[in-house]
Amino acid sequence: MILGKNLYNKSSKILNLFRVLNLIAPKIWKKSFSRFKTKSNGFTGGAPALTLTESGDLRCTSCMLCQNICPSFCIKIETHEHAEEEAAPLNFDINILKCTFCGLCEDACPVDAIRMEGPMPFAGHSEQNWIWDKEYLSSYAGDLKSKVGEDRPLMP
Amino acid sequence: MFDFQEQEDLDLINNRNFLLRELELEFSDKLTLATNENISIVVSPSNYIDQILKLKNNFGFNFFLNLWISDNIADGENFDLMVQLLNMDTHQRAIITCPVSDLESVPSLSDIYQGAFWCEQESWDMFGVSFDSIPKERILSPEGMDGFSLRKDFEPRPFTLKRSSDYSFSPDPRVPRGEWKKRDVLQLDMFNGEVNGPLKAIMEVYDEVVERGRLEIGFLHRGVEKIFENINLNQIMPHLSRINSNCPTMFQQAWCGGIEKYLDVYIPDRAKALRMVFNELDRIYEHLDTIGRIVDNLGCSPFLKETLVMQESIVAVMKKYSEQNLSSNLICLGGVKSDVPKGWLTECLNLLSFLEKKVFEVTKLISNSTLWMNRLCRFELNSKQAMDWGVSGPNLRASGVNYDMRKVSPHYFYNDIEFEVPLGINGQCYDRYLVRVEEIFQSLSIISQLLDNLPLGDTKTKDSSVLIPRKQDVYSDSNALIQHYRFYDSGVTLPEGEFYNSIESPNGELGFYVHSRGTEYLNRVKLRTPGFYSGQCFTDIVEGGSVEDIPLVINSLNLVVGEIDR
Amino acid sequence: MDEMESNSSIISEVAMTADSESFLNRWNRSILENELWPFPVSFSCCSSEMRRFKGRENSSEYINGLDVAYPPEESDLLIVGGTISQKMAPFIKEVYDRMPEEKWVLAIGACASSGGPYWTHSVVQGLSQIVPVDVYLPGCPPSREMIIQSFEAIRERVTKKVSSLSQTRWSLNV
Repeated sequence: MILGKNLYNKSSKILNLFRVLNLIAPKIWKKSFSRFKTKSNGFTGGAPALTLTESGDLRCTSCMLCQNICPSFCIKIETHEHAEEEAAPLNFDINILKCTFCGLCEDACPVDAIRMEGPMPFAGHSEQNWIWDKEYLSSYAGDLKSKVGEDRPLMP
Repeated sequence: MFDFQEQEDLDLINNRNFLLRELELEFSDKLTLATNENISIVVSPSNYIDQILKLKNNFGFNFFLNLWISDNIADGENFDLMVQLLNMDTHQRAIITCPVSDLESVPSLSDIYQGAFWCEQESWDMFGVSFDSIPKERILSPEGMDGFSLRKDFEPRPFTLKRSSDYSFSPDPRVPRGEWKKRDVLQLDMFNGEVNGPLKAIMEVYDEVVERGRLEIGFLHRGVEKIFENINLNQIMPHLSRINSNCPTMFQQAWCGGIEKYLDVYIPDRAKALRMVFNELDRIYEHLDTIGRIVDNLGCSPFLKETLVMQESIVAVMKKYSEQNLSSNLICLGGVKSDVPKGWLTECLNLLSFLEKKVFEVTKLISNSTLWMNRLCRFELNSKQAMDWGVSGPNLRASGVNYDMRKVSPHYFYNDIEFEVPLGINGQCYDRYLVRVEEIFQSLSIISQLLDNLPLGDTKTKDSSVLIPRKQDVYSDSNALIQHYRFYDSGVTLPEGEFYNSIESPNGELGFYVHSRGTEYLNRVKLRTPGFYSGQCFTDIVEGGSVEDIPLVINSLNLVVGEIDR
Repeated sequence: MDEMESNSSIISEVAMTADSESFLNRWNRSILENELWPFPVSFSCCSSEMRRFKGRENSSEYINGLDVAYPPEESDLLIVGGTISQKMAPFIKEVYDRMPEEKWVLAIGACASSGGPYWTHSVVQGLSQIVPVDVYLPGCPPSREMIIQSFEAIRERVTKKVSSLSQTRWSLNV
C-alpha cells in the first residue's frame, strides 16, 4: 500500500503553535505506566553456583562437559591424580569477568552440579580477586541442594 | 470468477520454468543446481565478467546481494570467489562460483554493481586476493597489520598501539583545477552515542556545504566469522544474540531455520507461531530505536524518553517469558525452549494496546508539522541506485520498490495472515521515517492475529537428530544419558554440503551461508547483514547537506555498527 | 552486605593515610566527591544499557553530566562499555593521556573487563592492557542497578584518595 498523500502536506502555522504549546505544557492527566517497569534487578539469580549433596559434599564429578561448552572458556577444572577414588575436582575456577551468564553450563551438566541461581556480582575494585574458586562457588549462594536422588551412583 | 492470487501464482510458475529453460540453454553443463529457490553456476576466470553482464541484462538478475571468498580447497592457495544475485521477478537467488588464486588479480565488479566495492576491499583484507582498480587498503582490520586473518594458516602477531594515518580525497574530476585547494577535509568522530556504535565520517567541505563524503568502518571488528569456524554448533547461540543486540531473535531464527531446512526437521505449529511473535516484537523494538534517534537528532528529547519507556515495556514482557538477558533462551534448534507461562498472553495483549496508543500520540505531533518536515525532506535515494548498492528493507521501500520477503517468499504462517506493506514515494528521510512508523502498526496487527489463533501442541520437535532429552530423563534413564553425552560432546554435525537461508530483518535481508565438510567444525560461514550495504550508499546521499546533518542521515538509514563490522 | 564490606576493607589497606592537607586540596576533594565530570565511550550491546540509564528521570542523582559532551581536558572519569577492538585502542589511549592528573577509570561489561566471549586476535583482552583500571563491573550486559552501584564504588575511591594511576606510579618508583 502506498502511504497516503495527506501525510506529506505541511500544516498551517497556527496548528504548529498549538502543537509546540502541547509539548511544553505539563501533562496533568499523565497515566502511570508503572506496571510495565522492570522490577528491581529483573531476576534474582543468574550467576553460576555449585550444588551440594545431602551430606554436604560437592555433586560435581569432573566430567568436563561444562568446560567444553563454555563459549568464553572461563571454566578451568583440575582433577585428582586417581580419579577412580575421588571424583570431585581438585580445583574448579571460574573467571567471572569473562562469564556472559548464558546458562549453557547448567544445560550441559548431567548431574545437576552447577546452577545459575547465585546473586549477580556487584562492581568491585580492581585489586580484588576475580577468579572464584570452588569454596566460594559452593557457599556464596546459600547452600544449594541438588535435585538428583541420593542413591544415584557416581560416574566413572 | 477471476482470482488474482491464482493468476499470480501461475505467472510465477511460468516465469520460473521459462527462466530455468533459458539458463539450461545458455550454461548447459555449468549449471549445477536449479530449483525453485536457488541456482548455482560455475564459471572460469576468463569469461567471468561477460557471464555476469549477461545475467544482469538478459536474465533479469539486477539486485546485488553479496560477494565473498571461501576456501574450499584444503591446500590454502586456491580460493573460490562467490557472487550472489537476486531476480526480483521470479524471486530466485543465483550463486556464481569462480576459482581464483592470490597470485593474479581478478577483474572487478564495481563498474557493473556499485555495491561490490566494499565487498572486494574486504576480500583483500581477509584473504589476500587482489582486484583490478580497487585500492589495497584495510577496511576492517587495523592499518599496517601483517597477514590475512581468515586464512586457515593465519598466525596472530602481538598487539601494538598504532595511530592510523591522515585521510585525503583524490581530486574531484567534476571541478576545475583552480578550486581544488579551496576545499577542506574534515573528520567527524562519532564514538559517543550519536550513532548506534563507533563510526567515523570523512567529508570534503567547501563553505560549510559537504561536497563528498564517505564512512570509515572497522572500529568494532570482532572476528565473528573466524570464531564460527572454531566452535561447536552448541556454542554458537550466545554469539548470535550479540551481533545486533536490538533484534537478537532474528539472527537466531535465520540460523535455526536454515539448519532445520537442511536437515529436514519438522517443527510443530505452536513453535512456528511463537517464533513469529518473537520476531515481530523485535521488529517493533528496532523501529522504535530508529524513531527515537531521529527525534533526538531533531532536538526533541521528551519524545526520546517516551520511546525509551516503550522499549522498556517490551523488554519487561519478554523477560517474563524467560529470565535470560538478551533473549538468548527463547529460540533453540528444534522449536522454542519453553512453553508460554501462565498469564503471559494477557500481558502481551495489554502491551499491544498500550503501544498502539503511545505510538500514535508521539508520531501524530511530528508528521505534518512544518518544523520537522523542513529538516527531514531531503537526502533522496534513487530506487535504481538502491538496487545497485544492494539496499533492502524499509530503506528500499521508502524509495517506492515493493519488495518484502514476508510477502514474496513467505515462511511459516505469513501466507495466512492479513497485513499490508507500506511504500514511500520520494526516498527522502521523511519517507524512511514514515515507512517505519506504519510498519509498527502492521506488526501490532500481525501479533494480535497470531495470539488470537495460537495453535495447540508441542513446542519442540521429536526428531532425535536435533533434540536434547529432558533433564528429568537424564537423571534417571540411561538411554537419555548416552544421548545427552553424545550431543554435548561434539554437537550436531552437518552432512557435507552448503546452504543459504535468509529472512526479513528490520533493516533488510539477513542471510547465512554455511559450508561444511562433514566434520565437527564448519568450514566457512558468511553473514549477509543489511547494514553493510546501507552504509555504502551514504556517499550518494550526503551531497549538498551540511556537517550537522550527518548523524541525522546515518540514523535515518539505521546503521548498526555491530552488523556492519561483525 | 558482605560484598560491600570486603570491598571497602580492600581499599583501606591500599589507601594512604591522610597527612595534613592544604585548604585548596581539601576543597578540590569535596568538589570531586560530589560532582565528577564523566567522559563516556560506549560501543555494541552495553551502549543500550547506558542509553536507558541516561533516559531515566533521576539519573542525575547518581552522576551528573552524561548528556553534556565535555572535552577530555575537563573530565575526571573515563567510562568504557563494550568490546574494544584493535583499531579503537589508540583513541582510548589518547583520551586518557589528555585528561588532567586526577583521573579514574570504570570498565562496564564483560567485554571491556576481559575481552568477553571474543577470544580472537582483533579484540583487546581487557581494558587493563591499555590503561590502569579502577573499578570493574561484570555482566553481559549488566543491569541498571549494578551501574548505579558502580558509581558508588567510584565515589568511595575518590574519598579515600585511591586511584590506579598513583598505584602504578608508586610501584614503578616514578
